[in-house]
Amino acid sequence: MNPLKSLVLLFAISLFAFHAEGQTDSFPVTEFEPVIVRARYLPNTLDTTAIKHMQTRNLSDLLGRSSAIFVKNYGPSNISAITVRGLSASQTRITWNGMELNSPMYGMADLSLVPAAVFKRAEIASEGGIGGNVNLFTDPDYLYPAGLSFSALQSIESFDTRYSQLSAGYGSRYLPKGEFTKAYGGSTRVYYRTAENDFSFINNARFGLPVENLSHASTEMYGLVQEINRTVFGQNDLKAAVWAQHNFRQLPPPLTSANNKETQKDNSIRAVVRYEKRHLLGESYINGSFNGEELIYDNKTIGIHSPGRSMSVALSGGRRGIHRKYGSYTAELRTQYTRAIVGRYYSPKEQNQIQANFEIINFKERGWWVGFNPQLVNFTHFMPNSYLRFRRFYSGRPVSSLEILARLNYKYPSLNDLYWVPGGNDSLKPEKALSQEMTVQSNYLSFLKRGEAFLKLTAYSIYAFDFIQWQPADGAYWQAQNLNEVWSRGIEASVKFQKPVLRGLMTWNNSYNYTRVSTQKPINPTDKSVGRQLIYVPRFTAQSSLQYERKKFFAGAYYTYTDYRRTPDGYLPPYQLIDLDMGVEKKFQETELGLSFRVNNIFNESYQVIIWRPMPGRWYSLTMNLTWTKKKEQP
Amino acid sequence: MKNILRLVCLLFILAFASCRPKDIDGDNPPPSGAYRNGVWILNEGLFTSGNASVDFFHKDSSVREANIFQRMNKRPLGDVLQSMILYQDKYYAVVNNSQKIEVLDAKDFRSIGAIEGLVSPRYMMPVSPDKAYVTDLYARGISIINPANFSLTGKIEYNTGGDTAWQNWTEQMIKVDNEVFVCAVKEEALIVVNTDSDKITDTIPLLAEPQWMARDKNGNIWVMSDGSIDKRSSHLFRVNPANHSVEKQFTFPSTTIGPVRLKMNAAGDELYYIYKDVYRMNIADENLPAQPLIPANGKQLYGLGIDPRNGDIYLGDAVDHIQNGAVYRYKPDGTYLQTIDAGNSPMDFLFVD
Repeated sequence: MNPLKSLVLLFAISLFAFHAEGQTDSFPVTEFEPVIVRARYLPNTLDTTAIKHMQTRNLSDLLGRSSAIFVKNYGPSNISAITVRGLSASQTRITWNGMELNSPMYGMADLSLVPAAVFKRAEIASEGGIGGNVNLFTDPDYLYPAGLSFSALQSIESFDTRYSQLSAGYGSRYLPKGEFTKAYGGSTRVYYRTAENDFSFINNARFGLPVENLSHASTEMYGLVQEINRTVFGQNDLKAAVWAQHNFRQLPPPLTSANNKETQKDNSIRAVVRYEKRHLLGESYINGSFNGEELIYDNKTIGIHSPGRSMSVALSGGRRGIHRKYGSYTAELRTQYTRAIVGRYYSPKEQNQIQANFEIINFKERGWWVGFNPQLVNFTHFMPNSYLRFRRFYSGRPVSSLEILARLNYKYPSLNDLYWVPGGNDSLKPEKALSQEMTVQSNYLSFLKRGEAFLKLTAYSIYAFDFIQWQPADGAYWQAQNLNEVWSRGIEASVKFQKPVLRGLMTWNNSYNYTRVSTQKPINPTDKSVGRQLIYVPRFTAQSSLQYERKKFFAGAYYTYTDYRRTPDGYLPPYQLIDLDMGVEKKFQETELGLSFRVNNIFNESYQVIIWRPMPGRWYSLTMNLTWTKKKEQP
Repeated sequence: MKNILRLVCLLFILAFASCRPKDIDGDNPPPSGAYRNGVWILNEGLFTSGNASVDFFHKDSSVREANIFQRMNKRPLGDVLQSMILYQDKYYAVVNNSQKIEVLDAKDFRSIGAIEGLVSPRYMMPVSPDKAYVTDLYARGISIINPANFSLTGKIEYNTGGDTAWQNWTEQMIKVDNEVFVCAVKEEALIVVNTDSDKITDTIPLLAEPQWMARDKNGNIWVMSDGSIDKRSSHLFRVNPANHSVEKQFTFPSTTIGPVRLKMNAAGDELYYIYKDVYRMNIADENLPAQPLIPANGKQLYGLGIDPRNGDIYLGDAVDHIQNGAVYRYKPDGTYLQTIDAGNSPMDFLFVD
């Protein structure tokens, strides 16, 4: 798309925003205080409204719309791999209710297999993986208000995409925040999604750039999320969640490859249980989790049927406490057992992990955190993960903080890296990374006449050693090897404005990432890649969204820019996408009807995130939501 | 507030301030369209990246023209270039993961057709003007094509009964009279195909996975096999095509290093191969050479070619298979001559007069 178009649109958005500044100021700002408070001094959180509005999509789409994080998207029915700070998908941990979703077999989590229906809250944190963590939660917010509810959601989208979702929830008692009483509740959600993904695209692999339709790209996904929660006077909490899912997809080949009719099935069942017991100055807890995954790759043309199954069981327990004078502490012990049976391993493989987590927080105006998370894998590899964080608050207007974080992180190789035949290398060392980052954060409380502004600016440096890379070894076959050193550094900036406008709330969210990531050590004497940007990592990504919400109406415009990406022997051009959406809700006694409409890629940009993998042009989505609620009387 | 607005403006200016990368392709002169007295550098490309390419090195001027197929035909060649031959004024480029053979005019390298419908083609061996065999990784057979009208005409069934198609992987071929000797990789044998009946008539058992072949001045066939995938020994065999017997067998010392790319000089009396380093062996030798002719010195040697005109050795360096590679040119005695830029993973060479 012509950048001029985007500039014009951004300019229009800006004008709209600042024009709105001069509009009505009679709206009581206090009504929005909970939203504002929630946003302060937390890790980068994905907008909960965006999660709600994108129930029919997946985590990859959400990150693309709500953040400047780059996702390597191989196409609508294909793999989506997160790229945080220029590092690989396996170096960023994706968790669901504390359980790791990264596959023990291939190390990464495929974001296209994480539908927005399975979580209600998402945060992006620096701790955890070498590249950080994306943590997803199914918060039990159904406890308030109490009562019974049913909802049905149906979406019709372009390219024969259909999404259906049924939910039911029950909460035994009205439970305002901070009030302790006995209550229990549960919710059930089932979802079903099919898509043909037969969109048209310009085939730049063929002479004359013909317009063609994508074929062999259909998908089918269905799943269930079950939650059960119980609280007794806020002192004994039991939370359990189960997520089962089946996904089948045809894998379209790159434009330069012929179609082998490849397909992939992903089946999974995940369960987490957490029991918390609160004390006067702290809490004790026990977590248990089970993660069973199955991946079956089929290529009928060449007769390959490759099944892989893995199972992980984890148990952890710990205690958090508060010292009245000095701060708080956490002590936790975690153990995990993993077993994988993969056709391309010589034999079933097992892995044992023991991890201890200690954290001390001295939370004052000048606070500090110390964390030590040593990990022992198979009783052979010791990985002393640790971090140190300082934070200094500057009170007054605006309220600001300065934070400095230093980390040492390890990542144990995936089972495929260790045991795949041919090329798996069981003598691999864990990858290791030293990171530093500095964050300045500021809240302008009275900015824009009762509106608010939030700024966050982070500069970081991550130096990774023993980077695992598959390379031909001494034979004709490729082998996983600890070859490289990689340095990632960059800047992440985000600015958010919120202001009551026309009896509603206007939110303008902007984020911008500059990522410079390169290898630092030649892997052989003729390696010329040292200092060059790694392939498929854009130096610049930017995201801007303007949203307006007023009672039962919302509308939004969303813009993303992704810069040049290196390919093995060239570059892919930048692309810019603009989406628009709007929706209304209408209440009829106990029934609420919602209707929303979305136009994606309104300028019909022709683009590829990964070379020879076409992405769809303009497409539409219409969603209808019907909710019936029978509330309990408040005591 | 002013400061906030300034910061926001700055962010957006930065967002649009990205520059076109400096080393982006586009400075190459237009292709000459004249490809004589030189070397075709076959760049395999990275699997699924669709960046296979062909360069031409003019020996007289030492000029390399890059990515000629793309520039002459305004489209990429495809995914994984496995081999290329010159036959009756046409080039046949076997593009493995694009399941096709591109047919190109030898005068200017313009595409004049493609043979499609193949499964995972590897090498092409013409047996007559209207018949050629194409080996395949997964086809459970050897495809028969007509190189004159670019059609797929038949198949020589080859099925060892394995569960997966690659159990029937066939690789390099050599034609001797009316017989074609084919490397049957997973069967660890040579299979013999009669070109009159298009039937497999014999199987010559070998050891490890035979993939590379060359023919010496005496008419004998040399076959090199790789056992490193299973940490077994690799071997070099001399096969007599007249009586289908294995006359000599050499065993490589390492079970973790696998030999690749077996080539013969124009005189047909010296073999060259890559065994991490580059080795040269006289066909009369009784042992494998102990010392390399050209040490790799840490380079990722991937391609090997021997110029039939002067015996110069061309070595392809794949570096890391992600970035573009390089080609090193040596005299027959191993003296370094020059370095030539190449595309991604230079794996073979085709010399033309």
